[in-house]
Amino acid sequence: MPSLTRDKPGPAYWRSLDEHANTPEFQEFLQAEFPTLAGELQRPSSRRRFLKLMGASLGLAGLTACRWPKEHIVPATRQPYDRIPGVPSHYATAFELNGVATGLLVTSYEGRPIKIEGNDLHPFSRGRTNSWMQAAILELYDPNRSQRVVQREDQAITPHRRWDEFDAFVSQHFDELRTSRGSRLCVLHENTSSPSFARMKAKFRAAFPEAELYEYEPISRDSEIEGARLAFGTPLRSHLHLDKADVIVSLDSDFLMTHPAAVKYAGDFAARRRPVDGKMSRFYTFEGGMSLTGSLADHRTAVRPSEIGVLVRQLARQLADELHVSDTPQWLAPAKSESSVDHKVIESLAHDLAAHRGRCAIVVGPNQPPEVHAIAQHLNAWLDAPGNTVSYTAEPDAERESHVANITRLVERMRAGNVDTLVMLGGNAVYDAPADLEFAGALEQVPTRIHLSLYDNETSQLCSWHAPRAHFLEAWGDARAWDGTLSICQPLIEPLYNGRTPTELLALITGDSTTDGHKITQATFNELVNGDETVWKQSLADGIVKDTAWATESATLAGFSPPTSDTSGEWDVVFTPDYSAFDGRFANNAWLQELPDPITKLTWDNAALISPADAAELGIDRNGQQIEITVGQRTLNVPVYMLPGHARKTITLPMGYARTTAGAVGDGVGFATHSLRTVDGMSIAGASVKLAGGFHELIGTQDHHAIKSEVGDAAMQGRIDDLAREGTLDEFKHHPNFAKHRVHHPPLESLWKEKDYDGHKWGMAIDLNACIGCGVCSLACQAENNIPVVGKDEVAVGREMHWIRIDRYFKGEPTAPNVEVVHQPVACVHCENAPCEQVCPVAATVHDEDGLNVMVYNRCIGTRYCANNCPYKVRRFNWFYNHHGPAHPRSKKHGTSPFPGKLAQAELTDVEKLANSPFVTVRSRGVMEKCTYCVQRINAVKIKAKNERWESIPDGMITPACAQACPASAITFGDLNDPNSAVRRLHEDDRAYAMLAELNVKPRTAYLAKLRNPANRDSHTDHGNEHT
Amino acid sequence: MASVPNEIDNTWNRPGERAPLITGGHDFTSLTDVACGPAETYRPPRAWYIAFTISVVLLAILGASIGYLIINGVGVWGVNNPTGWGFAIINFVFWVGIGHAGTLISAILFLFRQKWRTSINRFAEAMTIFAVMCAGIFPGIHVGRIWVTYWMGPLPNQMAMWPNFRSPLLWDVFAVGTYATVSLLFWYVGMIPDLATFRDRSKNKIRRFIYGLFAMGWTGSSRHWHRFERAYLILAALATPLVLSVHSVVSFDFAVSQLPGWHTTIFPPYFVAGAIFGGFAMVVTLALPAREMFGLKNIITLRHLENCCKIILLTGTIVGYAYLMEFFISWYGGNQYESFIFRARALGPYAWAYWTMITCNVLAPQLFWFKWCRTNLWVMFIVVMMVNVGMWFERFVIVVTSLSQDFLPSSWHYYVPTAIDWLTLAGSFGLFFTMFLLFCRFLPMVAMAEVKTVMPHADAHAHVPASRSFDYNPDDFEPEQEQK
Repeated sequence: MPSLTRDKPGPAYWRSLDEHANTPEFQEFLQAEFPTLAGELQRPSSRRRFLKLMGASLGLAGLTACRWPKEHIVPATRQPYDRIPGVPSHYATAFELNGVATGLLVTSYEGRPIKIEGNDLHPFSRGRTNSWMQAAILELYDPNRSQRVVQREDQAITPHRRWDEFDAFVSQHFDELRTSRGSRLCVLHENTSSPSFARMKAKFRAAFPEAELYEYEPISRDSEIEGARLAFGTPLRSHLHLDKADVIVSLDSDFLMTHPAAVKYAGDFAARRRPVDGKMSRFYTFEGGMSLTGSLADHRTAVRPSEIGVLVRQLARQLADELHVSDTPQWLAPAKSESSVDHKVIESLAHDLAAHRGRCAIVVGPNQPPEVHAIAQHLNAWLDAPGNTVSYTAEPDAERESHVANITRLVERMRAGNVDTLVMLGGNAVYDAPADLEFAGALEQVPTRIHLSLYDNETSQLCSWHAPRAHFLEAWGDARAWDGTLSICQPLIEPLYNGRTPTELLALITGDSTTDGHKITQATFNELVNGDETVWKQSLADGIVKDTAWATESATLAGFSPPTSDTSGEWDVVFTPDYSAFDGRFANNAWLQELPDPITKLTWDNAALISPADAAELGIDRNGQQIEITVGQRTLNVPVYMLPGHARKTITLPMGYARTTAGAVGDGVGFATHSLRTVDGMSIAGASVKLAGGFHELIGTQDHHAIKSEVGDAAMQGRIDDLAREGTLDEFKHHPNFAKHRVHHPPLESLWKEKDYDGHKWGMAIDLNACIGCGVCSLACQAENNIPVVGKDEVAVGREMHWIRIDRYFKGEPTAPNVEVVHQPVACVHCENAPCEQVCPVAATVHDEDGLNVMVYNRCIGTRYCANNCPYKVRRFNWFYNHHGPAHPRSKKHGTSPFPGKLAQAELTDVEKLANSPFVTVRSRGVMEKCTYCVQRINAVKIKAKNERWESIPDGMITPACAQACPASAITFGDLNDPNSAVRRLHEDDRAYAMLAELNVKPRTAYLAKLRNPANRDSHTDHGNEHT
Repeated sequence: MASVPNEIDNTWNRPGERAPLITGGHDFTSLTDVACGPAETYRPPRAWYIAFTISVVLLAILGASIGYLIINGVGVWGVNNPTGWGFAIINFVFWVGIGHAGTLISAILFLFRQKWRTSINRFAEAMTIFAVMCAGIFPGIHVGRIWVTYWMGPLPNQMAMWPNFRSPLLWDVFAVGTYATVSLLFWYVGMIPDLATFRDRSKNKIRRFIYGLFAMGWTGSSRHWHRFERAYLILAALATPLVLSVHSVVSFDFAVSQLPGWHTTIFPPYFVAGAIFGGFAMVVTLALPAREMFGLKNIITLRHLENCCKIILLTGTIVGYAYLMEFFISWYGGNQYESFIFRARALGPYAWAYWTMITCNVLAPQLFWFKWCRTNLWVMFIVVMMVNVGMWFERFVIVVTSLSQDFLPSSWHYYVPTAIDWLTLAGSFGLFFTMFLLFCRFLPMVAMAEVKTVMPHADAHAHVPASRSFDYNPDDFEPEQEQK
């Protein structure tokens, strides 16, 4: 071989033929592969030095991969008192969304978090959570999370940069900027209440006096803050005390779901929905789309969101009459026009409010313009709400401009070429900034773009540096609750991918001496709180820092002249946060994607929600037909979901979909509703709509189109009141056990002698009146019980796996403006006379000694007879090996038929496996599964009780995951044999009934009938005609 | 297929005179020649080859789709959350039902001294065996964990677990198991004299050895005949209750559960009637081409076919009555879930399936009130094909409509079978026809020994005109040693 002869100068030693030939390609490869070593490698004499370098770097790489905190490298020689192998421990931390924190208690098993619960010491959690908090576990273990620092320079992507390279870049780059006082440096960050971040911001400002900081959130409460500024002269934060409110009026507000304090509000709201001494709260809603909160209203009026400004003035005029307000305020003067709402409704509402002065509250949603908020604040003041049902604290960061103004100014500056370095701490502005700003284009004007993010997302893709952000479960931090209560966030696990927090990165950029999150947090704490180490430890353990809530402020009304907001357009388009994806940040969370929307029951999609009457006018007869929405210059084709009770000429567009680089789960799911949001129409916009043609199959877990029929619809209307029983408060007062008389059946006799359960007799009670239908029980159950996600195609064929589902029924004519909604959680009811057990040929489902209907997975052969014979249809079958990774083709795209040869049954990655609870069997293919009443939790307590020789298990010791998560405390679990247990009392409640009891299955789960509390308008108004 | 004029019409009924059951002037020898023909010829008719090729391809599809199922899981079918059972159980009930006609013909008609059964009983029994084979596949493969299906059997095991004797699925295991065993035994025992004929007519050693092995040393001695007749009678008596019990037990799978539309007491008789109905349709479906293909028109005569049609008419009407009665009871019972499911069957999303069923099962057989329809082979063929389809749809309607729309409307979900479902169904026909065509080729498809007893020659007074009684009484009758 001639090339091997030494006829030309080449290296004496070579590692490959390419190297020997010393081609330009090889040189290139060398440069790319070992940029720092390229010089060394090309000097043949220093092979020894090369080996030294490689050895050292390997050693160092090993060290950096070491996952133990460097502070504690000495292994314990004795077992720490709180560490028992196999026994999980719990740590308090906090979850922050849009600048408001909620306390959490996280279960950690052998050093890995496996389950999130609310922190019962935290005033805004009280032990409860919402879906986003529950799903954070899956996000932590998401293999699509960004794992490395990435540099993208002039189309060259170097995806394997190390942090030290990034650090070196930062120190060099920002040292240079420091000399120029940061005049061309901008920072864009998310809304956060973290005092550490605020402290670091101050330090940053000191280091870079001319740099600018911007804050942006796509879903913002700015309008509410602005409204408070109008009403009080200074922005005050309103705190609702729904537990004291007899009458609640919601104006386009979804305060039970998307409000930052929703978990607490749901609890307070639900508390007043339980009749006590024949009293419960009354809830009025005026809204465009049907929010989950609105679906619970006693009087729900569908009204175009742009009309609410008129409506609230109408209400104000009426109230001024009722309350004899003498001087007509300035803001009442304009807008004499009337809304489309029947005036009698407003009259009776005003009358009801006036009759409940001091015991009522008006809540306005964040989509409404500031003046509606301001007017509502005035009305609340007229109604003596402040101090009773509403209190105020100062709004933190009050001088901040609105988020839209922030991002607009930033983009203007970028376009003007006045930004050389842009640091983005979190967020995904390329995706969620107002579409007309064309953030991506502006970003190209910035030479150095740094993005810290949990995912290598749309924004990261356009940045010169992307750095992985630490998940909140793996990082130190602090955050404030809605009322200012400070929480310390402590890591549950060392960062899986060496991520850093925004605070840490800001410290690094600032050049602060401390860039360690732990030390920063503790330093902030020491500044804020007087106290020694024990206070710190106590705060960590409790999850809250005592007495850090803001002081209540008194509000004085200020006059204002309202700006005239005008959203003209044939149609109103309303942008709402999605109940699963929120603003898109949770798009790659498969649990959330598969959690059915509480109202539409859609999974893995968003849709344009419109009223069935409008749909009919547009020529739409089936969900999924597409319409073309035009807002200004922008158009979008979206499939339609006909939502009964939706306001006319209004379209609700949930945001957070059509992500392009969300990850394997979220990519390409849903429609780009955010692309219609402009600076002037971030919440509500005028639009024109026409039928676009085209069809996109929307997949829900209920109301499948193909099974719809006239007989079916008729039968459904006939039987829903037997299943999810409801009545009015008046009916309840006159006939307390009305629910028991909805269905009459002959005496239920058994063929054989039934077993008596004289030990424990576990049972459950679900209060339909308290249930708000949010679905967090489904998600908590999924997290607790290792329930797999099956993907859109499998949901389409009805194979979703949720052990507890929320049945949602509409009542009344679909096209009527005011349909009623019932939410009914259904899980296995643990029939004592279980029809499933009888038919299983291999006795794989049997009763245990406490009367639990248990599934023996090992014995199950999968005949599915049990599921067929289950009248509640709560059994779930593993049609495939469902514990697949996100690479599963069926979880990605709809339209891929499940055959042939498409059934990759990928194993979970090691990281994904960490999310599974070790206390619950991971079920394989071909096995039936269902709710166990969280038998692992029951047995943990029973074992403890036995070991410690308790006389009995105290009521409330055992809480299934669903009951624990429920913000409304609608689910109660306990021992029916304990005469003092809460569940026993609820089973004996007047409202209690057993669904399908006539089948003689003896369910252990009782439902408590739903009550509505409509105003008796005949007696309140002079006008006789009823409007309901 | 031949048209009517080519047939010898023996469907007449004249007072005092019996129509001949075997036409074409056959004597014992010529009958033996004709009946043995298909098995002895070197070259079966081309139609047999075509049919066999198609059947084997379908059989291969069955194997492939079952393999695919086992590799991937039951999810490859269209079954879903409310509808836990789909094609597999439909096919199971369908095939078990098919089998019933064979047993009815061979056992009950034997006990009732229905002489015309002799021409068709052998292949009807074979049909039973093969149908039960097809049926047996489905409960086995429809479970989630196929590798532990055997847990349904009462086998001693390390878990010290018995199956759950309260489960109708377990009753199925026993019922179908018993049925398969008795049917196989009955079929085989009845075949022994004919196998001996085959043995004796064999022209090569292999055939002689194999047929000889299965003929179990039959010599045709009086003692053999005597034992044979006794055994046959006993087996017929054993098989008779099975005709009623098996499909009753299969119907318990549905009737014992509490699903609206399943939980009805009419199911056992209705299922049995339906099974016989569907089974006879399948007998005619098989007989029409077989008699053409193998020249058996004088043995399986028009009269036989007409008799089958009469039974189809009777059982079809019973089935129609059952459909009607279900509706009446669902209204009369006043149970909202029950009444809904029947309204939904007729008017709901599966109305297409329901009306297919009614058309095929109730309306089509009514044509058989007319003798012209009972004796026209084409009409007959179309009607029995419709009945085959209709009986499959009956099971579809029962299984799918009830499951997909039960108590809680939130769970309702439409059932859509996948391609694998259809291929498995088609494949099961492949198995059935492959077995049947092999049977036609290698085993005596006409029960020669029995047919001969109903021929005039069997009578001691053979010279007496055919109007004499042909009554066959084993006790006073010694059959001739017809072949040596």
